[in-house]
Amino acid sequence: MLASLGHFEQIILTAILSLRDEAYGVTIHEKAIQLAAPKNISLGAVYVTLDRLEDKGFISSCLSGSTPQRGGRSKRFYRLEALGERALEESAATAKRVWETVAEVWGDFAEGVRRRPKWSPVRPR
Amino acid sequence: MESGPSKVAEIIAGWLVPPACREEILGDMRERYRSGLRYFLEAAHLIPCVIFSRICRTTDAVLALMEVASLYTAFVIVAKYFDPVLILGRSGFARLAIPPVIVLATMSLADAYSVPQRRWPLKPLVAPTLGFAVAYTEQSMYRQWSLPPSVFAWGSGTGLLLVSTLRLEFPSIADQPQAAHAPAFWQKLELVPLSLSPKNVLVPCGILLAVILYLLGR
Repeated sequence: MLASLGHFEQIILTAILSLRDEAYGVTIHEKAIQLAAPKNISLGAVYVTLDRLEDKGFISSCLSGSTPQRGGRSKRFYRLEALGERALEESAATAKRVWETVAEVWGDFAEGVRRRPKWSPVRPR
Repeated sequence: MESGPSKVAEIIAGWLVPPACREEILGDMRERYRSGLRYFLEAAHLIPCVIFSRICRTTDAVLALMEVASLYTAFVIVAKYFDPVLILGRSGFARLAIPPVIVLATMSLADAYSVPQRRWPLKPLVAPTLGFAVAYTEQSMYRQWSLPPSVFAWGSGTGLLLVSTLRLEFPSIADQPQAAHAPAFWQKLELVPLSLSPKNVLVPCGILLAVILYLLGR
């Protein structure tokens, strides 16, 4: 049984997955902001989560690629490990089931119109 | 002209960020540089998070519990023999707990700031020695909470011996060899992870209580 992922961990893992070979601190933070919009995300929280995910064995990291823009300092690139892929897969499957259930009740969100049914409870006699 | 933070700002930030993650953190901060004020604000928010994360990674909860229990027991035993009135007096046990807590906090910080690449045989002794130095400074600053000099000196000596032995026997995670590309998780598997079940908390507390009661009963 895999350890379940928190909401923020899902966002960070998804950011790493989508960035592929370009996943390092700054790019992960930018991608996480896009994914979590309109919520704001601090860079510190990203680093704490990356360390936690690495300790859990979901991601691995290595140093490389210094640029003059960074004052000659290296970047720490992150990569999704098999364990992380499985955990993300499970989370995505759960999110999909939730999405389908909500869409079934409220209708399609894709059109940008949320048709929420009126609250009209029927009291049992 | 190259735009970037001032040398002084970078040196201060570099000094505050733990060495194990200094390279990438300073690089990321420089890449995101917009203005001096923003750099300062970002550093003020980012660095505590990084230090906290590093402490979580380098501190092993089981080892920390063993260390603090050894230190406290050492101080209580020494106080029993050198100054029994201290134990029986008001807040005696609380006063005896201050040096172990300070030593533990200093050792956690020292581990977070240790450089994993630099190793030498006596490295495990650096953090406890630094911890006792900080505890001694605290004892000299706050006289109303300080311990009698003989209790502090003998307690520190015994505690240093116990903690150093523990550290030589069970090196902290920061001092263990780091394999290339291997997640830190796999290194931690060598140690039993601490779960805060009643058994894990009550057993050490029970042993400590039995020792204290035995000492009081003599």
